[in-house]
Amino acid sequence: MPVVLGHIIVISVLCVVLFICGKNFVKMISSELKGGSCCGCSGGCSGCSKCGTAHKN
Amino acid sequence: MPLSMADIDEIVVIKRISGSDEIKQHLAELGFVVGEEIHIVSKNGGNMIVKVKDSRIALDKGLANRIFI
Amino acid sequence: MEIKIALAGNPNSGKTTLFNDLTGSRQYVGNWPGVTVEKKEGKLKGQEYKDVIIQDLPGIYSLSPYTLEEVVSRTYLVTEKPDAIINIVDGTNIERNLYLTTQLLELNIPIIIALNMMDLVRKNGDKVDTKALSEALGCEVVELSALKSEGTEALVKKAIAIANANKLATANEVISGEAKEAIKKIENIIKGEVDEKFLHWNAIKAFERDEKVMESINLSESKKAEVEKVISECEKALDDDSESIITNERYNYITEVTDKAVIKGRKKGELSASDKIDRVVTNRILGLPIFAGIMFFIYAIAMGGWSISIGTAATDFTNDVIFGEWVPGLFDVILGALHVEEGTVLYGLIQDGIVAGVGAVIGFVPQMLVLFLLLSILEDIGYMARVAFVMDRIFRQFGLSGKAFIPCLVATGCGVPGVMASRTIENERDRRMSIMTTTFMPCGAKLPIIGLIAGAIFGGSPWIAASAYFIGIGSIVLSGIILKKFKAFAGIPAPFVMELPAYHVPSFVGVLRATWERGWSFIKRAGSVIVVSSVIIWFLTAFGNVNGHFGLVDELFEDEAVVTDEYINELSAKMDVPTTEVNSMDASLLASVGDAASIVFKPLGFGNWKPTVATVTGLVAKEEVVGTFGVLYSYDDMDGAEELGEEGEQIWDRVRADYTPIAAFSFMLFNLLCAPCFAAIGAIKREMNNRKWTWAAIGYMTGWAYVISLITYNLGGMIAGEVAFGFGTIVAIVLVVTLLYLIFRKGYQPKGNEGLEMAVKINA
Repeated sequence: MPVVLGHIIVISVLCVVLFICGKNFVKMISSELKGGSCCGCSGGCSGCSKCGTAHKN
Repeated sequence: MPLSMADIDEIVVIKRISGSDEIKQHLAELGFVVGEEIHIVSKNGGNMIVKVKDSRIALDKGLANRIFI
Repeated sequence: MEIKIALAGNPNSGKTTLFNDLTGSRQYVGNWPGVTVEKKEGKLKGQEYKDVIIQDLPGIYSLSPYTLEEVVSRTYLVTEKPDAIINIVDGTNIERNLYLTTQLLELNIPIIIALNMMDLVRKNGDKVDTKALSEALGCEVVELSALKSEGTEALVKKAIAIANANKLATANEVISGEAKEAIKKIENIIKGEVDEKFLHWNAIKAFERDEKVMESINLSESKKAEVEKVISECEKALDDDSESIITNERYNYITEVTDKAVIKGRKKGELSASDKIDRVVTNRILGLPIFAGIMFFIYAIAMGGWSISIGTAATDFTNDVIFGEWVPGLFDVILGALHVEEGTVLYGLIQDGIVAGVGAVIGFVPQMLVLFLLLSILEDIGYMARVAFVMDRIFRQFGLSGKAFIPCLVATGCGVPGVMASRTIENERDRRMSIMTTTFMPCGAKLPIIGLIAGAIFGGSPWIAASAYFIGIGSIVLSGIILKKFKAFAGIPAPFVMELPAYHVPSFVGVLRATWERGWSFIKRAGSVIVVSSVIIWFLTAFGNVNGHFGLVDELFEDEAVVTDEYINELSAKMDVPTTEVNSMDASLLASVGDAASIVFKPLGFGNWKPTVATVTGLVAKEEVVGTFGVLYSYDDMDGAEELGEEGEQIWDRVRADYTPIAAFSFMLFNLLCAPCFAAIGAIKREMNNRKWTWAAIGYMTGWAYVISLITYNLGGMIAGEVAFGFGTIVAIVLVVTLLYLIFRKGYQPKGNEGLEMAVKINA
């Protein structure tokens, strides 16, 4: 395969990957800094067993 | 005498609870009322674990001192 | 038409499990406005139940006005007026649980009782006559075993039915005698001033002199006086204060009910299995050693260097084999097939940037998974609560409550829930202090840092990991002692009272799921944050100024005219790197910036551009420190040595060459103790609810880290013979003396009840 094609494929894949990661990056950091969701460590409180502990009085 | 002086495995009855309203009420909600029985499960230097109305409650020495049996 | 159903019950009654069961993943979690109490809402699962909303209320023992959770719950019930209440009652603990029930019954809202843990009740040999109970209380009772999803269907159907029919509980006399008369009188006085639906409830609360209710009713002075007269008369007649009168009435009623419906199988005074375990585990002599033993065992399995250390074994495999050979090899093949040759910018970006950075971090996932798994099991069993109790005795000596220990333990998994676990501390000052110091504990993300330093410099010694934890706990305790001597934090710790749930066999599925979610989120983090950071870092190391020529440093370095021996020596001296290890990166943009900033860290022993950059990237995510190292140490050195693809240990060798043991240790300490990652900072911000305090927390932690690292490097280094006596040593000694003073001085003595206020005075 021509060299140029190879390069194009790699660069496009790279761009897509970076775009997705970059978007997640921004989303994560901004929500984390705001104080974000319950745990910040997993996507949603249903899984974070720790939050259950937090309210035992 | 205060609860903190009771021994492990004793079953005692609450005669009086001293202290502020808030603490007294909080204890009452957990089951600590005059006339209620307490079963001492464990003691750790004045801190205690007791059974009251079927539930297991951990108390520190300060609180245990306020419950008179 | 939308139906709102509220879920109310004691803590530990299985409410969360039921909520999860009812709503599946269709949950929304936030905060009740203005307070740090979690608000959980969800849509009922199932096609036929569209538009049914389940509102999970915080676990409460009563609707008194004394704690945040209680106030938030009662406010919700009285203002939002849900269409029905599901009251979850722990069958093994009926008497205490019914206390809340009696109050819910007074709200005049359709209510149904979910009698939970029935499987445990049966196992204990007790019997509950559900029908008799239902008759005595005046409402439906459904048996449940939430853990096994039995009875949930029936519960849901009945709850919706009563909601739609607005079927109230049949009236029954919870409060009788004199008190009942008094309440009737008060009802007449306040009639018209309150919502008709809640007339009875408000009257009872007024009788108890409930501050919050009195505020909201807003009676005229004369009416207030009338009410007070009724109360005083009753108190005199019964020779007790109004609150106690009502409490007693409730318990009397409950006894009547349980006499009719509950038969105990066990003899009085017989100890359950949980009690017997507690006898041993909280024993005054055995308690602490048992705890230390368990924790050591956990860390040995996850991170130690022995044969049971499956964590370490898996991580080594991942680092050396998967990311040492397979992945880079795979990429090499793919890129080669696509004509992207080694040595090109694109190749470098992918192999030395992304693969190196991400690989370095993901390598540690196995260790973290093992740790998370073990901690989950420990938590699920119910042991954590006992730990708070055992530690309370010690913590109290330092003016802290045992409850302050739980956040520490939770933080060993992840700092974010650790910070949030501080909510169990009622005392406002102690709570702030806990939030400020919780992240001293090494969290899962910091494990790679410990692993890297321990592995590369200290031959995998498990003592390094152990020391990280001891220093973490030590920092928390010492900080507690020091801070408590200041006015802002002084005061006796709140009394320790905590319900200990019965031990139970950990749910296999639950634990696995929790571990998997944690691990998966770690990988997701790697996927987004680490990839992006690694790429950025790689770019900054790819370009730079080489001996006056700006451009791609790799290319420039190949030109011998540019890279003269003289230049190499210059660069080597400037960057403090041995001439054999000097490489293109040392001339990059990042290196120059990092070098300028590295002055800050010179007293700590790692005033070099690489560790400086790594430490800063730790703010984004602590794992990134290792990710950065992965990128920064995967270079082609002057001898043209093989790239990273061949031996995973290549980084480790290079790292070892760059740091003396004491400098490495100091570096590790700084990163473990300094300000946490953005996620944790976010959590701190939310829990503190105050800008000033958030910054104070971050500043304190970073300051503490700096001081400890400085002392460690200078004094420790001198003892180890690596560091000569000098200005640094003097500063270190001064700091040590200052710390000792702060620890042992008398400090601010609070007067009277100062410092005891609960963290609850809010304006709901």
